Amino acid sequence: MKKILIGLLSIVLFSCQSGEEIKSLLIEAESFDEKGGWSVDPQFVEQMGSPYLIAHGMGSQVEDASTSFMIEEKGTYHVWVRTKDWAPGNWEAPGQFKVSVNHMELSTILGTREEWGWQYAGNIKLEKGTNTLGLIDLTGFNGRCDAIYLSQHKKEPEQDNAKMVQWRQKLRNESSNSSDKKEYDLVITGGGLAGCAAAIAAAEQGLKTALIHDRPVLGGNASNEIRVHTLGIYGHFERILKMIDTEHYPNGSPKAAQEDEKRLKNIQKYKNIDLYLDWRAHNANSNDNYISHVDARHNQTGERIRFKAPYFVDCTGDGWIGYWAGAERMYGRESSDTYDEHWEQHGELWSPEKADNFVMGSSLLWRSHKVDSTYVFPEVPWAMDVVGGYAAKEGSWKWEYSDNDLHQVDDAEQIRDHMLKAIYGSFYNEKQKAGNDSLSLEWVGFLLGKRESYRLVGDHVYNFNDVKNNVAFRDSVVVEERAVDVHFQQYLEKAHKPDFLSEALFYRSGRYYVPYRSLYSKNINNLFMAGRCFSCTHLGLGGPRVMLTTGQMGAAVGYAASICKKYNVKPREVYEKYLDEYMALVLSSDKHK
Amino acid sequence: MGVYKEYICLFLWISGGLLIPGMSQNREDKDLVLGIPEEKFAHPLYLVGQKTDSAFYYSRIFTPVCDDSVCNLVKLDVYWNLAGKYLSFDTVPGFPLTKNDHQLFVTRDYEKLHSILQDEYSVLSRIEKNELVQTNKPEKQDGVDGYSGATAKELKQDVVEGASFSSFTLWNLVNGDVREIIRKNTIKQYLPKIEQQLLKSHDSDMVLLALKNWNKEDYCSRFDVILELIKRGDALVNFYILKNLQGDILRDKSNQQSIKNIMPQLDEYTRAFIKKYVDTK
Repeated sequence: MKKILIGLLSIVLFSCQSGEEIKSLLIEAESFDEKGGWSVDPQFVEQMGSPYLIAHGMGSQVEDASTSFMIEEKGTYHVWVRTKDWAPGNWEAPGQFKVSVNHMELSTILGTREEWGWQYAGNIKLEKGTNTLGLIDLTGFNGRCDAIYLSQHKKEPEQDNAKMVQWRQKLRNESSNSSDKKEYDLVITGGGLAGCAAAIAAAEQGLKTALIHDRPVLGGNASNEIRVHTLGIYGHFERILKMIDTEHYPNGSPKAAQEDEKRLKNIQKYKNIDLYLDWRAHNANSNDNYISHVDARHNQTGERIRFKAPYFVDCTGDGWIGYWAGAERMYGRESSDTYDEHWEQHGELWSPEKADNFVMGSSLLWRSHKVDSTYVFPEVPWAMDVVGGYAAKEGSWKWEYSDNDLHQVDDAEQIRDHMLKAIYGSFYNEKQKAGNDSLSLEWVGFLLGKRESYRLVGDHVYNFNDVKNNVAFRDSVVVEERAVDVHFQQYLEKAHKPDFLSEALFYRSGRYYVPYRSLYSKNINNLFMAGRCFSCTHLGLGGPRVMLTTGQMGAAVGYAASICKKYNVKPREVYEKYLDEYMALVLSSDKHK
Repeated sequence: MGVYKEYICLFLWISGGLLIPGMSQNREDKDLVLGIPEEKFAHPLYLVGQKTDSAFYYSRIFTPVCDDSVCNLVKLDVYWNLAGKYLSFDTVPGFPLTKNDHQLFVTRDYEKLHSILQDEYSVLSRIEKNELVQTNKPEKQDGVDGYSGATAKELKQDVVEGASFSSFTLWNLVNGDVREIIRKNTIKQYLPKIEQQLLKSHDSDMVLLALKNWNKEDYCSRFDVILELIKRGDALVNFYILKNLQGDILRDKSNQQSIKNIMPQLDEYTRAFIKKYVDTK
């Protein structure tokens, strides 16, 4: 992989210089040859423009990242670094770092500007040929570096986010088209439980399937990167789901890594699933309400592929494929009368009289343990406004953040950073207690575990009444028994509670069913969806949002795609014309293979 | 707790149970809300003192509590506020509470039961009865996202030791469907005294129950009441109010000025909250 990276980087640099008056080059941090202790964070590409490197050291400096690059013309180069102070205030920025060029540190401390943008690091003389660049973490508290720009002219790089995409493409000498094209029967974007189940079901029915996932491991919220265990029942798809589920270990457990291995091995058994790990979809093109292709980019190398298929599945959780393709979508808590979802038991907390955006929030899990020696944890003044005197030594599902004025997609980085402050601040307070000298942070997630986001609108919008009345649809393909639970922030009722803790409201209803008609788009004719972006209301999501249930959705969609292919029909026509055959396939799932 | 705060502070311990003065004495002034047992709540339910400043609901519940093999009969007087929130209970002479092994509850057991019943988001809301006996397994350590598998640790906090089935049964009875029945009845019986009591309460549920009856004209004509409520800094109430204040009401310059005038009296959080909706410059 390293050779490929160096090769690509060189091409980029040569290309950048040819035909450019100003000798300049752009180095994407996520493309560094050696990441050291830095991690690639691709969660917020749509908001800030790129995957970036983050020094997630839980308060301990991470190892340096480094890369080599070619210079065609020797001279003095000015160095800018695209970065952000993620907790600006009257204290030193938490995520500080420096840049080194050819092992010489530039003196400027980076990570200290508010909002994403270029920070000037200094200038350096460079010789023609191979040079090296390093990122030196100074704090261990989530310093972040998106890219490094070197130029012989001291002209600030493009700061405008809107113009940034074209500016970057130009510097990287990229056209707007992907050079590599792949064709499949089914393209699934999102490798959480829903995407994995969809891929297996489709592959078993003979479909040539692409599974695109923006992380290096499968599993989404169940992966070792987020560590939520799978909940719900298996429904009609026990055999498939047991290939990708988890044990019921405590959330945050490192046992999630074993489940990642199991999941990957089981997916790789299918020769007709092409797995694209660490590839992030960034576009879906549609004409006349049909998606023609999905474009994806490798998070680290920047390579791009265009995926063509007659059918697509959106398992991204946030409904990105649907969004790019122009699918109808929903967000927020519907007013109680929109779908008649009022429940007097919990009034406004359950379903608001007027619609709002107080959706269920996102979580970061974390845990600590005692070690053999004293563990020093630095002061975290930038976190204390969030936590006050609150102290804790581990997280749970209740560590969750939502605010009516923060969007779970658009403001996701702010939400994640708020949770980081909550964790570090609470742990700092815990460390001040007697007997906690050896208490050490064991693991803190940095990828948000989202509960709720955009939902794509299907022919049926699944809602609370479907649960309450236990409606058995003709096309019931998903079955669940767990109580519907929706969350709210504790401070809404108890002012003294910190704003990052949630509480849950439960409605027990016995067995309930999700119809197939909630799993394909109402207006994009070849788009399925499975996972939390299925067609439902806020309350409709409350029950089936857990991962075995979303896995059921995926499997149901995988089978539906096989019927679509067999008869060359739209997803809707499976319901209208081939429902008996489809339901027979679903109901016999556990007998297949 | 609002008007009941004084009651809660004045627990009297009689026969091992909780007796809240005022409540037991005032029970004569009561209106039957639910006389015919129904599936959701099979006990007579009364609204007591609805023409006073301190109305509440009361029921004498009589229910079997069963584990796998044995059933005990439990008789208990239970009190709720006007929004269906549990307030307290009182034992009935001749019916002391007992544990699984028939030992009598002692004072600390009654105290713990009271605190369990007060916790409307107890783990008991999300488990099935059969899970009461499964929670010692190590893999059930984290009851996440709610439902499946409560932790042994959580459950220990949320049941009276040796009386887990009683705790479970009583919690679900006291915090279950009766809450909805009470809330609907309060709305139906919406008298001036009731509204006054709801609005004075520091329980957000009580206040919201009153505000749900307001229309746009009420918000205009009783803007002084709204300002008083905002000053209290209850996040849920303020969120609800501010959603309803959008539009004409806020365009009214005198209303805007009134809000600006109270800003210095508000806590930082409420100020920030209001600034999201109102231009306070």
